Amino acid sequence: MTGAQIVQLVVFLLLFVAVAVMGFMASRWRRADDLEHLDEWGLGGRRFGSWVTWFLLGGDLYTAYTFVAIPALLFSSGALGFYAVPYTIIAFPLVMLPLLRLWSVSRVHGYVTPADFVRGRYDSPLLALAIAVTGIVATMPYIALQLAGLEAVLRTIGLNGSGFWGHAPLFVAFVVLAAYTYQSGLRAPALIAVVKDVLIYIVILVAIIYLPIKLGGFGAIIDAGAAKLSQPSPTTGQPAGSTLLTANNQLQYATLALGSALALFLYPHSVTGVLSSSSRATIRRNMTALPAYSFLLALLALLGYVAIAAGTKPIVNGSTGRPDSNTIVPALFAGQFPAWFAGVAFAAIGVGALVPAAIMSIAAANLWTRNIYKEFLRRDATPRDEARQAKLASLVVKVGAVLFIVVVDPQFSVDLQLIGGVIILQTLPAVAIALYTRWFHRWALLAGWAVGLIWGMVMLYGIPNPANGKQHFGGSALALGKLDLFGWTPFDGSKVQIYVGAVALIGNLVVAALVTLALRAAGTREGADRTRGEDYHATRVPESTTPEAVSSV
Amino acid sequence: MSSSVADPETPDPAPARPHFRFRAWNLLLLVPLISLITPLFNATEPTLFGLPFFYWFQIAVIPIGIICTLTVHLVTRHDDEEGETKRSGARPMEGDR
Repeated sequence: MTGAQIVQLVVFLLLFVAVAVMGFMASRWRRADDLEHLDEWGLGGRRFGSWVTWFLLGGDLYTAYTFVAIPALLFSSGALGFYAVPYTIIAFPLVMLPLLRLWSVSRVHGYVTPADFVRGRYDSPLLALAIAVTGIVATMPYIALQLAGLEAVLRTIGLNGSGFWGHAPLFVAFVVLAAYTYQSGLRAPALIAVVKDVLIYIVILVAIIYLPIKLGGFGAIIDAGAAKLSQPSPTTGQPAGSTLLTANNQLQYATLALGSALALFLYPHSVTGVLSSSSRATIRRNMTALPAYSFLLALLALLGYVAIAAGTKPIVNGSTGRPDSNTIVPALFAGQFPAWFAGVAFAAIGVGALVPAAIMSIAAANLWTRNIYKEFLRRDATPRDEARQAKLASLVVKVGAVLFIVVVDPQFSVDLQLIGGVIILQTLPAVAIALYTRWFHRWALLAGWAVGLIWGMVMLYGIPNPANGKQHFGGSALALGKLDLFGWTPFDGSKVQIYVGAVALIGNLVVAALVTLALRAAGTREGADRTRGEDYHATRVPESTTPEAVSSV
Repeated sequence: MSSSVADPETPDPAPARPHFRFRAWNLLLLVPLISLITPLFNATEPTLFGLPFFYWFQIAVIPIGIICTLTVHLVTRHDDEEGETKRSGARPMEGDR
């Protein structure tokens, strides 16, 4: 370790420990009578107002992914990586109205998870189980993405060991996270998210003012990016990318942005953030204000080009022995900032990874407890049992995510998010469309879900990554020419790329529609709908229901 | 999007009420989708502060999106309060255990 790295490490540790202490103290914040209740542990008592919800959702959505993965994609592929900007521009206007309906119907019926809603809407524990499992599985790579960001920081500081034990600093960080999540539930990330945002704002403001001035302005930075990206790659012989989109990746750009936006609020952790808010007005205000983060995202994304202009080289990952593109932004900060400020920046990224990881594991734990444990394993579970199960499940999910990072080597950690997106998008018909219409038959939704998932996985499996020679799971961009419907290739030879999630979702919808028509013709039973039209506009729980009765559905 | 109330085969004692409220103002929420139409802005010129059009155009759509969402929020927010008064008489919960 160099002297600068020691300073970085000390600053990083100071901030990290301070945040951990806050996490443990959070259980006393707006303390409930009984934290041993899923509504308290898993939804913070459903009492979060506009400000807390803003920080919580912001902490959810603008994460290590923003800081690490997106700039890394611009650094190595160019304009395509900027898809994250339209993604966050369109996401909030698009989902505001459906989320209001979801909040209302969940408040009336005491739903904690999206699968709870599906259970009530379609009278089908099996469909709810499918939604719950999908949510848990899709969340794991997303948590792993946060870990990749945290690890990139640790390796830049110099904790860059080799082999399995090279991951040890990451394990330590995650034990701390697991402990305070267990202790404080959703209150911990909600409180920490405030600190995270303050740190991130400071770092970004400095980075986007100081660095471009130092490097000769954005014009020079973009020119440097264009020059480097146009050089042919040694492995493929093709240019790595360009600072504008090409004829082949424009469709991918649009479908990536749209698919990611639609996926965003299907993820269980986003739903958790929404359901923990105290009123419809809170959601409305947040959907209006959250896009303000997109400014930060856009400026952060451009740090990918800044790194090119500054001549930053990715750090060689001690565990894989290859340059790790995820370390681009940390390495840029280490090279351009004084050591103490680099330490602050690293803490911002590190805390920015822990907040969403905590929320995501809590959301996955809610799913496990409500829709698998209580539904299939112990129907007579008390609220106390539920809270205990959820706490244990949150630990299991985190271990799963750590395994993901140790076993899978994410060259571009953004692919983790995109693969999670392909999975979670398949719940769109059963969750989001169901908020508006019950036209789809429940078994048809299940069939569409299965087809979408399997087809999506098959397509992902078939995508090679020429950059590192991997044959499978090399990304989420499918060349249309490779699209194969039982031997029929409608776009044979086309090199135009599209996001796999969009293709799989179309398959899902077509199957669901066809099977619905068939089942309806056959007169298959539809099941009872427990929700009613007015539930979707309710502003509070009907007076005749006590909160206790609601939360023990 | 259909506005069907409940499935006809489902026994539902509640009077049928429309559960989809259409507001023309809500169409404003579609305006930000312009940032998906890449041929519109996939160009270098004109640049702004050295940034190619591709980048600053999309950054410029951010405040437009915020204004559209804010407008919809302000124009339709009284709907929430309407729902409040309409439900002054509590009804018994059915369905939930």
